[in-house]
Amino acid sequence: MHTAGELHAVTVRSPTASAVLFGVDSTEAMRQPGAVAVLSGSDIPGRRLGSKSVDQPVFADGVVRYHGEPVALVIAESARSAHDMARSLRIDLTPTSALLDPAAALDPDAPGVGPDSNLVARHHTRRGARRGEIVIRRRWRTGRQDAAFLAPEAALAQPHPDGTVHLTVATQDIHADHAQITRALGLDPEQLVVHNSGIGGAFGGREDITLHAHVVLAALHTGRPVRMAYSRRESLTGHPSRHPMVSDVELTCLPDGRFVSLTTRTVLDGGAYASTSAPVSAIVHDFTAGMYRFDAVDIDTRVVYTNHPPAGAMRGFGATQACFLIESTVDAAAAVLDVDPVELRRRNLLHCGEPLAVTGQVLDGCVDPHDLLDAVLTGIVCDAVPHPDRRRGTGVALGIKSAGLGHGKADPATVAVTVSGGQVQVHTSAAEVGQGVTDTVRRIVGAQLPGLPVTVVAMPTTFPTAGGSKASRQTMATGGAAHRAAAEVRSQLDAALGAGWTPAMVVDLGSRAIVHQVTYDGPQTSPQQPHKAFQLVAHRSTVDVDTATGQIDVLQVVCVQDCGRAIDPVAVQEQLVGGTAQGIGFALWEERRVDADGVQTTTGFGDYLLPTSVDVGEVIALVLEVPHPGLTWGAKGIGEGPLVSSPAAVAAAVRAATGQPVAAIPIWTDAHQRAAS
Amino acid sequence: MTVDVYPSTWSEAAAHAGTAGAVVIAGGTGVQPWLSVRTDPPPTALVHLARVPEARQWDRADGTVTLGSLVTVDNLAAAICFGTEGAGWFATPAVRRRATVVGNVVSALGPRELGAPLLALGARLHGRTDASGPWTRPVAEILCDGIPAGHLATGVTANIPERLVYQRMSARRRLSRVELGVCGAQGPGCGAAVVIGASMLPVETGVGRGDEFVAAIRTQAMTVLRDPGRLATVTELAARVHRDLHTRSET
Repeated sequence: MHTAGELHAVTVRSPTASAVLFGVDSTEAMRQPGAVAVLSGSDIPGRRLGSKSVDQPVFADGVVRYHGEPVALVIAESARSAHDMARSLRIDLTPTSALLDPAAALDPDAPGVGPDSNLVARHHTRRGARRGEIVIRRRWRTGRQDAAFLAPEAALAQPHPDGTVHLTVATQDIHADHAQITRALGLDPEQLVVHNSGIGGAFGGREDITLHAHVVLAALHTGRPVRMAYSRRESLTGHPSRHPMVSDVELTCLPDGRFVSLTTRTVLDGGAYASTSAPVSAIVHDFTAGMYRFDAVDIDTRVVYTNHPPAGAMRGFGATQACFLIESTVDAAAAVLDVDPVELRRRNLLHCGEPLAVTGQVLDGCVDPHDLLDAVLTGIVCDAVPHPDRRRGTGVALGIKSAGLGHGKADPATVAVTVSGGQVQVHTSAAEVGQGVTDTVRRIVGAQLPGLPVTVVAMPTTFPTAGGSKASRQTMATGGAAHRAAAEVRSQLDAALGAGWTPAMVVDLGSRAIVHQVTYDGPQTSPQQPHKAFQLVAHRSTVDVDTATGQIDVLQVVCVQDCGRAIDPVAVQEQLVGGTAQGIGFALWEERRVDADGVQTTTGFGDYLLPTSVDVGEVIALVLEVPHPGLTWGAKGIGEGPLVSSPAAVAAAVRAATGQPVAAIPIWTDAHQRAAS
Repeated sequence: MTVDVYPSTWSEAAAHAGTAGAVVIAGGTGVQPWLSVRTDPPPTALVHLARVPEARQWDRADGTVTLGSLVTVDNLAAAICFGTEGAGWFATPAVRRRATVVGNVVSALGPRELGAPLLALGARLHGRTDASGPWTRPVAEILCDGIPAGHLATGVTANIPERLVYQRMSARRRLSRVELGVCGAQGPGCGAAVVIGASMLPVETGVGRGDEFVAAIRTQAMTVLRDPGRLATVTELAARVHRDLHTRSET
């Protein structure tokens, strides 16, 4: 997007992970041809951003907490001039000792990064005291995966004559962005209108705002339209990553393999600002025991501040790390007991109607975990001929995650359905980020109003919220609202035209409009019932590992997920395939690398290694439909499920092929190669 | 200010290439991204070779093939670099259609994926300068020292092998830099090469037995490699290359 008379802005970022910041010297930058302005923390002192915890300054103010933190914004007549200004800006800072070890963050003598302490959040659940005779202890680690969405961040902020600023940006939640920007910049809500440009993918990486506040501030400061666009390199610095995790786990069981207790001490690296660390850590915590039966649990989950780049929301939202933790532990127990890992799972899996080990919430509204396991094992075989230089392994993992916001949080979505002139319009602010909410809503409304063409109209923040395109919630939330609004419109059509109306009769209504708007928030959650619904998913992965190089070839991955009901079966299949591929990437290669000084060294897709289509082997997606009685059409959100258990299944397959413990993902590291050698 | 120049002869191109700050573009797959993200001063001139007729030509004679500097990686004449495995491991189809063999080995901007096969094929690079005219040097020398500033690469000549095998280690089998590799070729003038990170070293192997082949590779690898684990990997890759060259089809 461009507009006439636009200016261009570029963020200037900290070159170091921790420093005292004295300010910026803009003298040389303002001498560059086309220079317009330089903005820094002193222009907006004390203002903070944050979707959950409001702790991140718009620009670093007095201190720098991570490498790549925004320090200033330069504004120029052209993008090239803005980049020249950015190179000329002098940042006056003195580096300080950085806190880079999350395990040391809570030591009394650790450098202070957080506002009050280095603890962002802690969750602790203890139930029962029984212990088994056989004890398995392991330490598991997961890495710093990036959302790596297709389109790097870009935005256009345009001042309007009425005093408002209109921001167009690809985002997951225009209303949450609006709230953050207006709060951070001290604007009245009416002064800002946010439009979703609606492209580019998200995967959680657009849940925190990045350039949004900067570009609006620049437009307000200059009174002119301002455009910003990140390069891939800047994008990899500009938004949070998945939380790296270290977890010490102890599982005890009986000699016959029945699990007795699970104890975990998990630390998540939240980086320099809180972002969504608190809710992410809650999901890690809630699903740490997976779908297994334990008499006793002692689960401690913490997330801490460090001087690493911030970690935040990413598809799976903590359930991915929890799945790797528990499924890898089950594999380790199987090895100790010399039992087949699948058989050990059968002995310990819950059935529907039993409580989950950590939250105590009864597992219901979903497929029975035993049926899920059967489904992922049945039928499909990998018949590729083994290569003589490689060893083959197969691994299975079972995953669980909530769908929708839980723990009693408000989770509303508003939809208006209008029938006029024989056409149906659905107004919604639900963010289409490529996940398919538009087609899902169209199908849900079309089912109520058969034969009428349905158009979905994406609304800006002047329309009520649909909540975010996150937490696998839009099919349930916006879909639920759309179903109810369309049902009411249908009732009104039935009343006006009789139950047997035809599209032609609706056309004959002419310009008369039948409109119904619904705000829906359900099912409700509570401390006893913290999650609305469960995504249950299983993966079976087959890999070959080169005996000399350790190089891993993924041959086949089978993904089975309970979707409740597939409103758009093709889109569901694509979600399962895409999420599985993203999980293969996390298991094997994807890592935003940070050096010993806290400097991120990853610069683009040359060194952030995404799996390509030829790297993921054959991905087979199987949909199970067990309708949830409390949800519209029984349909559950499914977006995150396929990324919950795919990494653990790939790791299990590599474990089976090599006999190595595979204690950390991503697997492709120097240590892995040395082990292969 | 960068100017684009389009010479129509090698001598004109050499004159432009010799000016300070000029950058020669062959396929452009390395130069174009660099131009987008560079932080240093822009080049004074981009020297495009598209109008030099000889740049697109290739020729087979006396057991060798000579490729002009605009012959792309997907050209059938360049297939000798890939053996029966084919070029699938090299970049993407779109890049293979644009990237050139000569540009790949002389560019300081990229991973020079074709260095190892060209070393194993005993390749020689042809170039020229405005002042002293044409020259020919072993590709091994260019891979080690780079092409001197102001020099223009005009083509490469490689021996045509009876068989070529390249065993390597990288994160992904495609689209990832080779971390360790051994390439061997059979035929007159051919030999082997070992890749250790950014280092690409030629190996004189002769027609020796397997253990002699492996020992030669290992000896060369030890000149830059200290990690015994990685040395073991190179040794195994060398054994595989010899096996595939002599006893079965490469895969």
